[in-house]
Amino acid sequence: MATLANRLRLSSFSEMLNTSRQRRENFYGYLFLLPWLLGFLGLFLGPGLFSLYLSFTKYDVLSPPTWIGLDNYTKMFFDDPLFYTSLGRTFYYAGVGVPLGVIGSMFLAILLNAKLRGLAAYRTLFFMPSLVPIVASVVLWKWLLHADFGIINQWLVDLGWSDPPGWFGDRRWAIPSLIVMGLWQGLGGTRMIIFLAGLQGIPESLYEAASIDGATALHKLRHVTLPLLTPTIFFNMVLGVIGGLQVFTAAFVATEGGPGFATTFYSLHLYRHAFDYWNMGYAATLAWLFAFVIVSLTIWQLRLSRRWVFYYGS
Amino acid sequence: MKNLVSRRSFLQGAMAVSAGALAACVAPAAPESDMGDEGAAMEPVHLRWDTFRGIGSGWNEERIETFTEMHSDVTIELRPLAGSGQQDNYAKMYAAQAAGDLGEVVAFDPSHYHFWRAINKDIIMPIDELVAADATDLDQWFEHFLGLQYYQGQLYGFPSWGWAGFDTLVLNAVHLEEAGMDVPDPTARDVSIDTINEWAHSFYVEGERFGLNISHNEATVVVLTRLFGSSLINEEGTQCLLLDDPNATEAMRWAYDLGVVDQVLPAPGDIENAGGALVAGLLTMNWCGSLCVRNFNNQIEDESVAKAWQILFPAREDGRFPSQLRGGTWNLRTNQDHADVAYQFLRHISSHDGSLSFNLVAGNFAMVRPDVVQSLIEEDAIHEWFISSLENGIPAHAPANSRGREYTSAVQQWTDLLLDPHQPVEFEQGLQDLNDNIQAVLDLEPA
Amino acid sequence: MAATIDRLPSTDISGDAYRRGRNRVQMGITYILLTAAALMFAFPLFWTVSSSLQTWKELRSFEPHLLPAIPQWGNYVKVFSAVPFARWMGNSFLITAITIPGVIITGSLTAYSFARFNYVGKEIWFVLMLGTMMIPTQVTLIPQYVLFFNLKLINTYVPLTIGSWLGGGAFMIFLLRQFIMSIPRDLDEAALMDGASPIRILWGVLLPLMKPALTTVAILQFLGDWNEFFGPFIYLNRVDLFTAAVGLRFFQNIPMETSDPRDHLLMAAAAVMTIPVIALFAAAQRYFIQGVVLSGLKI
Repeated sequence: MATLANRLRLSSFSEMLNTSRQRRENFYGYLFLLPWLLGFLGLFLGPGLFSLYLSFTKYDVLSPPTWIGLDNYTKMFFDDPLFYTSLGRTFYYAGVGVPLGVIGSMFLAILLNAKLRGLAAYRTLFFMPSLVPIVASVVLWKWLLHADFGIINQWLVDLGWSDPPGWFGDRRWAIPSLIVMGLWQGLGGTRMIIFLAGLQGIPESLYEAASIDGATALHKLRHVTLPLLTPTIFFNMVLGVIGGLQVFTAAFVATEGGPGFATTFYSLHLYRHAFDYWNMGYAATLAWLFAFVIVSLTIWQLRLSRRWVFYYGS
Repeated sequence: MKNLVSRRSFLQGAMAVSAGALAACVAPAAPESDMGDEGAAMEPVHLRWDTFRGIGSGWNEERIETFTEMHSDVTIELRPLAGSGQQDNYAKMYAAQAAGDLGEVVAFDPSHYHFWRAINKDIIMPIDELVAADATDLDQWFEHFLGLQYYQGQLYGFPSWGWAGFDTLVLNAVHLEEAGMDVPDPTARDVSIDTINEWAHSFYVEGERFGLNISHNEATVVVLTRLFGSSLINEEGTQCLLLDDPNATEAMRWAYDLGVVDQVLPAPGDIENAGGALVAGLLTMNWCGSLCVRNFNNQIEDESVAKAWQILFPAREDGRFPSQLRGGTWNLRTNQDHADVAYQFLRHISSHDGSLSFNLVAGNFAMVRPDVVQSLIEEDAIHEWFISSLENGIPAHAPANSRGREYTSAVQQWTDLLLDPHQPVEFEQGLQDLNDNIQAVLDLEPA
Repeated sequence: MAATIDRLPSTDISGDAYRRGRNRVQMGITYILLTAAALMFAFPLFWTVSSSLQTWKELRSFEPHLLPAIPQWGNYVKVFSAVPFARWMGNSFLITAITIPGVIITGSLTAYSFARFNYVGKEIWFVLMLGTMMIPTQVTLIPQYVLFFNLKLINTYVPLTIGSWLGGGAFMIFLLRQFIMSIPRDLDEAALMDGASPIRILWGVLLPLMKPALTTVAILQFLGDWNEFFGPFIYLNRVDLFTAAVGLRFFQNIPMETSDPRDHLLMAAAAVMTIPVIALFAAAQRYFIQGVVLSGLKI
């Protein structure tokens, strides 16, 4: 199975069209793609292209859009300091939070995949935080991480840190606070479930063979589990980056972008322009630039994946 | 096969684009009215009420029921807006308007800065003619709150909620008693700014208690500048006064000295749950709105830890009380065939009974009618504490360009930066930035 | 000789015992680690339930109360009596009952197409599919609303469910594709030799091997729809059509500074909403551990 990067080479088009096998591939490929294709063209492409058009207009939803050419784009690059700061803070959040989250979820899943009694209950427990409404976990964490009266800072002071972080109230610590909250909420959630499902795809026989060769648990982890889990790791990384860069709810609920813009992430900035300020045209500009950034990152990840993602049986 | 499918689907997509574009463009000019088309005057009138106010409390249902009992030919459909935040609800209302599906009875609050935009975009209609035809007595509402319902000389609605803004310091009297001090008279306005400053210091105990909490939202910052005899922006809503009016500068300097120089205030965002902190005795004075005292009082369980009290701010040189009278509205959508019926319903929800149960059942603060305030005082005497601000308060000033959301956001975030104790900025620089960013919003073209 | 024979088993035994002992230690450590972590992670559930039984005063106090002074079971009664919460939960179930089969059927088909066929333009479609995840929904929301309004589909569940029958979205398709790609191609080829049609291969060979993946997809779809707020909020106007996630906001919709909060009811409603999810997860998770999916295969 070729990786996407290989398949991106379009040079063999004519060759592909000729053989009868290829005709068959085309037929069935498109036949099975049909449901999605219909949805894409019918539901997504229309509104999507409309929003691309909007990015060249001034549009407040209530009056017709007026064409203003590249004005939104020049405003974004030259006249909106928050564009750069929010982009930077978003990368900070995703750059730290996503790798920690993916690695953490993976090890949690490996632990929970052991054939031990009672693990069913543990799996359910770890899954819990992702089910708690965000409003509830914000109340909890705002108290735990309270600068003056919170229990965590009391511990830190007891441990000898005389000037502990101000957490949510401190511009330097607001993003780390959100990362901590996000990890606690996300480690056992969707990502872990996907890792668990991925672990089931690893043939038992490989572990048996490794045992016969006298491999230790650590060996098996390194030479069997991790390589065969790479498609799942890859999936979670790609989706983690996409999700992490679109971080919104936590900051929207917990910090409202503050203090002093410290947690005004890109999506929040965009949301404000779309639904608070009703600069829908400018919001569309921000959206398309962002889409371009994420698509580039994803294509880069897809290319890179050729070097480290291993599809068993290909 | 592939081409066929794609082409047809592309057509579909193109239709979607044009449908979207078309409807979004033309709908506001000609919103359909459901009942109008069927036409005949005999037909029963059907109204749709889109609101997030009172939802889940039973208030809305009660109002509809009592109204339709009197008008048997009218049906009213409540379409609750259950957005996660209030601004979500406006998003849905604008989307509905863009599609021509907005209800006949709606609310675009001045205090949420949607009122003027909704008028400029022809979403809500003036009701002066209906008032005249009905001979409605406009004196039943407080003048200031009715005043918020006017734009360019025309009346666009009746008050829903309304209060005097962040006009009080909610005080834990236990701390004063412990310090052997007499608690001030809650309505005398005789505690000076210097005394407040002194108490902010003297009741602060590091790691245990704060003497004073000032949040950085627009409601607080405006009253802070008014306390010193100025305001944040001028009445016309075109100019930020922080640099031009020395009194406004002095107000911000006062807060800066407390928060950044002496560091006796909580950092921005540090006290999220100020009400809880008060009850727990972790805070002596919280800068808040009048009826916060009532809630504080309701929440107290241990009177040895906290006792509800308040300090009203001293009168200014011009005799007015530092406050920001602000409130909400009930409006009628434009282009409806039975505006007279909808108008009667508007009166029904903003009458004495409607307004009182809006307070008591729906849990809103609607001190917008003298007769309601009287009823509330009978309910709980603490309401008497707030009358003076209602009668001699200062109305809110809104940006002339209707950029209220940008404005509140700029005030909050740049005040955070000015008053940040962790990474302090020079006062002059921070104030300049705050001023410039507010002014930049006021200079934007109209929304 | 006899001595050697005697000794061999004994060393073997001692080796076994050693190994078994080491396993015990390993197992012990695993349990300790898990228990410590589980306590941390189980706390929110405890917290949700506990706060759903508190009064609003307890909930609003500065230092959270771990336990209610007197459990307020009445909170749960109020959730169901104040608003039609049972009906809303029923509506949420109905939506998931429509979407889960949709995403399993059409998502598998699409993933199969991406994973197993080489056709003209596939790369472009794949990148476009991923691209649909990257346009922030805020900017397509209003055009989409107007589109569905013009199709007279406001106040129906069509806008909320149609996507699941049209591939189910990029996340699910990508996930299923990854799983199909992990299944050895030899299996397809062998079935092909036997004259099986592609749809037969998907149905008879691949789907049975994808149980963990399909379970995952079903759970994620359920979770997604169950908690989805913005879609139902925008597309539904009628109270009797609301979903539980939207109805939850009825307890949150009162201005904070100005009245008695209803957080306790919000928490009770939230707790009620999580019960079906926990039940579903507990029931479905045997598919995660059961899966000796590929173990029978020869490499």
